[in-house]
Amino acid sequence: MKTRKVLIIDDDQLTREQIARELRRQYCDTLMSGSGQEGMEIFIREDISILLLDVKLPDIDGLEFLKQAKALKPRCEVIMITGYGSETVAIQSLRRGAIDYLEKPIDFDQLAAAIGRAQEKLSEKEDLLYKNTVLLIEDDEGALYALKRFLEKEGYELFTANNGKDGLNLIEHNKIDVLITDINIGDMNGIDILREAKKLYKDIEGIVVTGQKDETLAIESLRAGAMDYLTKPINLDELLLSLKKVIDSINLNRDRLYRNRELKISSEIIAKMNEELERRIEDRSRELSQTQAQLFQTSKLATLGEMSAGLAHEINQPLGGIALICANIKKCIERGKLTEPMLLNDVADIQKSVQRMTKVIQHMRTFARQDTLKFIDVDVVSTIDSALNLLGEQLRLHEIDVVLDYGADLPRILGEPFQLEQVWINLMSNARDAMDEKGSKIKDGRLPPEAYRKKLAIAVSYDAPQQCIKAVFSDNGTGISSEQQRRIFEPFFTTKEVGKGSGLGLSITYGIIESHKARIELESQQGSGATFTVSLPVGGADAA
Amino acid sequence: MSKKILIIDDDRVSRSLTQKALQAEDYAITSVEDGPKGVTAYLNSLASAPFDLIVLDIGMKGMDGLRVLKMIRQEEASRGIPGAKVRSVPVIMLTASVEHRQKAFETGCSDYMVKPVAAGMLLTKIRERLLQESSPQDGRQGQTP
Repeated sequence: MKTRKVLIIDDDQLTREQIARELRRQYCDTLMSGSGQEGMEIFIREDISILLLDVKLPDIDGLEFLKQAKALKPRCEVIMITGYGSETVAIQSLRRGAIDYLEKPIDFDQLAAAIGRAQEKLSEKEDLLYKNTVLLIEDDEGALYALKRFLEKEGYELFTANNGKDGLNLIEHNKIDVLITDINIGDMNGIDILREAKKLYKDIEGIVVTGQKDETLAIESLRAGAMDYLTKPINLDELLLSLKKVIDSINLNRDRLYRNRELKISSEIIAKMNEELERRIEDRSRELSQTQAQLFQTSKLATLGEMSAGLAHEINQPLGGIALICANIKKCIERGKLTEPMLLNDVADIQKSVQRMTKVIQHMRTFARQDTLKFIDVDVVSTIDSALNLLGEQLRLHEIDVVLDYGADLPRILGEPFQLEQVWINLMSNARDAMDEKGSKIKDGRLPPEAYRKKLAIAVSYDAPQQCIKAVFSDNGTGISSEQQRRIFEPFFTTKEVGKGSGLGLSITYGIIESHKARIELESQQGSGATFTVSLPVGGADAA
Repeated sequence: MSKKILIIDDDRVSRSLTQKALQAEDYAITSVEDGPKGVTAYLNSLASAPFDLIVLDIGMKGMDGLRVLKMIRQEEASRGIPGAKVRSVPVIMLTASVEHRQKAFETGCSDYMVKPVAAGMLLTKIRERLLQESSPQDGRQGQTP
């Protein structure tokens, strides 16, 4: 049998010695080195089939070494030696072409499996036939010699011993597949030899040769772990059959062991990849939620800009009133006609106007602030009213009739008043834009002329069976095509001209609605307006 | 859980026929090709999950079926503390001739069939046996004390 050269590179001498011992048992020609530099020199100089490589070398990074080694000799199989619990490095090295990895402290079953798999892979490449090894223990020298010659002719690698002690010694230092022992050996009982051998290496299989009519001993040896027994005088056909059976079983077990290891490695790689993927997804979602918070703020500011027209009006009106009152008072003083009740009345009017302005400004302030979500008991109608307070004047300037239909005795919901207000403002501004567009299209003849009156209907009602408040906003603007309906809640999707809309309004609306565990539905036909229905669960986000 | 059945028969053809006959049912089958292996399988099974039934050929080379049965019954007797859980396992014996019949029942087999065995017949007998096993009040026939 051809021996393979194995190179062990590890700075820990004990580890090197341990592995080398196991490798010699598996008939490998073993070379050792304690440093990366020297290891690389040996690796280049010698014909190395299997390389066992420590990840942590004093002079060279193991992963880097692996890369170089694989580049220099792609046929060479590499097994990495890693510290306990450093799976990340292990997985990395597997990805870079290592066939297996061993964790320190070295587990010998694992080492055997790793070396076995490496050998198997090499044999696949070299098309080498692996000879199974058989140890014969028999005190009759003649029979021993005859059996040895017979089995060697059959293609087995033979070891022989004429006493138990020598036999066990051979087993300890060589990789024996099958042990065939006579039940009566001078110094030891065959069953005991088998038990000892099994203690040394679990994967050794045994066949015990018993005398005729010795069923009790046969049963005993089977119970001691023998896979089969033969009765004397040995029938050579039976021997071959039995041996073949045992070897088949060994190969099956070995195959199972290797495949299990492969499975374990693959599943570890997959687990690692999963972990990475999850981490990335987490990062992404965190980024996304940050962006969304930013967008929310941006859109609020944009709305704020849009509202400044309305705001100017809201403040101008009371200011005008105050100016008027002041002029009136001045005139009265000049004419000496100022009476105390008149003055009191005027001052009260001024106070009222000031209060009105204060209210508007306070409102703007709370609206523009980036609030963290605070769900409170809230009346949906009042939030729509506040939205109308901000936007109502604008709607009037755009000649839009607002029709309100609020149901009686509406239950309150749990929600964030300013966010809800933002939803209504978004819906109303969209309705306004849609109706403006239709108006201008009719005006410049892109749509057939008709008596067009812009109308926004807002209805709020309680849906008892579904336990939710329904707020319905219907306009009679241009409507939304089914293609657009599909994408309308996507961020940055807009049909408005450049510079007119950010494309964020509805996606933010959608976010807010989601956080309220509410639903938004859209019904529209191109050309004849759109209806948005927001259903808010009574009992709030917690109940849903 | 499926019932565990042990087949002990040294004739490969006969063994595989028996095995085939039992495949129709959901049995966990172990088959061995001689007496000592049968006894070993039986003894090893006692520690974890004992067999529910054994199909045993009488005419085997070396250790014959009667001796296997004898060892099994001896083992049971040595473990059989009155009222203990270890119950004697039903053994159906197969033979090429009728002359062993008396001897077989004396040794303690539960049933007896002459080869060639009809698959359906064997299966029926096994079902019957296992059914009796699961209803504990019945007495077992052909059992020596």
